[in-house]
Amino acid sequence: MRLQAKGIDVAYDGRRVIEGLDLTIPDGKVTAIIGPNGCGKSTLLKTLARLIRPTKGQVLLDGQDIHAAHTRDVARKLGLLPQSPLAPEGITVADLIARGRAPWRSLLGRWSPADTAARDAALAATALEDLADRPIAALSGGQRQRAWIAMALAQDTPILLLDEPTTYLDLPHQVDLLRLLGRLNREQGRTVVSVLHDLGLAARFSDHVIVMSGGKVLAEGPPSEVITASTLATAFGLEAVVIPDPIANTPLVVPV
Amino acid sequence: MKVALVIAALVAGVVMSLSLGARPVPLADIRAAVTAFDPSDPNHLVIRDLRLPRLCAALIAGVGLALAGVLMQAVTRNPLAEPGILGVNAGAGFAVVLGVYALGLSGAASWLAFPGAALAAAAVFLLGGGARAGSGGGATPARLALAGIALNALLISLISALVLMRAEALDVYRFWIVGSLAEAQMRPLLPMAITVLVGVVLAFASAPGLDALALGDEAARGLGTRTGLVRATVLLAVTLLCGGAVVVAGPIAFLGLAVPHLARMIASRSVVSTLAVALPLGPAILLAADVFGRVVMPPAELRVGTTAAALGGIIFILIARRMRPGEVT
Repeated sequence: MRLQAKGIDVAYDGRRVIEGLDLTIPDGKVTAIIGPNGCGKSTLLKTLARLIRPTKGQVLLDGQDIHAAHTRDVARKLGLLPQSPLAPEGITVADLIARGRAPWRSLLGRWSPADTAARDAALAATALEDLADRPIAALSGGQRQRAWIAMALAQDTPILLLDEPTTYLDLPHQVDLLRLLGRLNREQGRTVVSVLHDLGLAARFSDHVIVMSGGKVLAEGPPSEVITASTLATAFGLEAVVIPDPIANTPLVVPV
Repeated sequence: MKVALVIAALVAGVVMSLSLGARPVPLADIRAAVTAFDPSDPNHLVIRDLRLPRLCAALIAGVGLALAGVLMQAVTRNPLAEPGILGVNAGAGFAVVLGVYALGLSGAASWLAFPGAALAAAAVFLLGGGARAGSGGGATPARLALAGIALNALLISLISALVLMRAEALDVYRFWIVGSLAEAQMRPLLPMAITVLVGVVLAFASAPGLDALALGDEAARGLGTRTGLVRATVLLAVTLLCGGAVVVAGPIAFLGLAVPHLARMIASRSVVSTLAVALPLGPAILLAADVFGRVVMPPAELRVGTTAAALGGIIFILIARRMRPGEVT
């Protein structure tokens, strides 16, 4: 397994958010991290992405402490889409995607054929070819989020971490986006890890679910084993009945 | 194509700067003054002793202010950032005035502009949270801009206090504060040319990092950018570029603000291409302003700080009028 956390404590603004957490991200699978607000799920994702340094313990990427490796080498293995990245004014879709090539470019920043290939593949995977020359500001919310995913794809990393990628989207666009992530996983073999809010969507579109509560992993495993009435009661304090989804047979949460 | 026009404008500016003025010098004499210098020819003397140093000073200050403006706007993600607004010029001015007031310097006080500008740039960076790493307390564009504006106000009030207490300080200051190229031959041109050149190299080195930073700190770090290192490189580059510019020409308003906007309209979106366009554009505009100031009411001349501010102001109004709401050039 390529990405692991070993006994990490993480403090954020001087407050301990995560305590003694051990975690292994399954390779080649779609993983969702869920949990109530303030449970430390975004902090966990940022720690896995080396944006936050744990006060104790280590995050290991391919067996090496992620903070001991050169950040550029890490960026060739592990891509991150933050919750609210900034689009520079006037930037086009193609230009934004090109910025994902940063860790692969030389000091002088020469653009290579490999860069073009990666950019075009990212445009195709996200079905943005026709919008390549449009400014990001002119896109709809769903298209914009696809453009950011395309930027992360152009980074060409086997592991992709996404911090609440569906937050500002309506339901159809959330479903579109999660299907896209599923395709990237199946067709390109990428390991995908997202922080998600919607339990039903997390259950439906993930192979592996990590439930966090109070800075600890409460449960993890396949959705059908993890998303149960008792986990929901413990993690969220939510009284709910869990029934099988009539289409996919995955757990469906019905609040009482 | 547009870049070729900018370079042509720079070449035209260089030729006009050498040729025009209170004593017009024909092109043949300009070449002869360089290749076959004759100390008895007054035209040759004008070129050698006055116009070439003046041209060099314009190139140093034009490049320095233009690139410093591009870097400051990129690192603060604020299109209004420039050496004047972020307190760097005020720092230089304060150091000059303090030199006159406390040390009794007069002509040599212009040297003090360098440490003044450098300290002000470093102070803005530190007050703005630039030295702190991590997502919690690091530098944000708003924090850097606020630190710069606050420092600028503080330094200007200190300058006012000093010049009101000592008349000599006021005399030096009121000539220094409006930048000029007229005393170029008395300024340390070679050391400042080297200083600005190092700043140019650092500016281009930091450009890929600035492109990543434009996506936000988290995205930039996800792309493998060492954000603290990029900001520190930019700080050093800005210090050298502004410091070199204010020592040879004094503070010149608007150039650092207007040139990056014009350059972005000509260049593509990346910082490196903006820098590449600003590099000839800055001195081209400064030379145009200087030549205009020399020919508009001979034999007297307007200081370049005045004409550059007027020209830059007009350019800036035109840019602002062409902008659509919400758009930033």
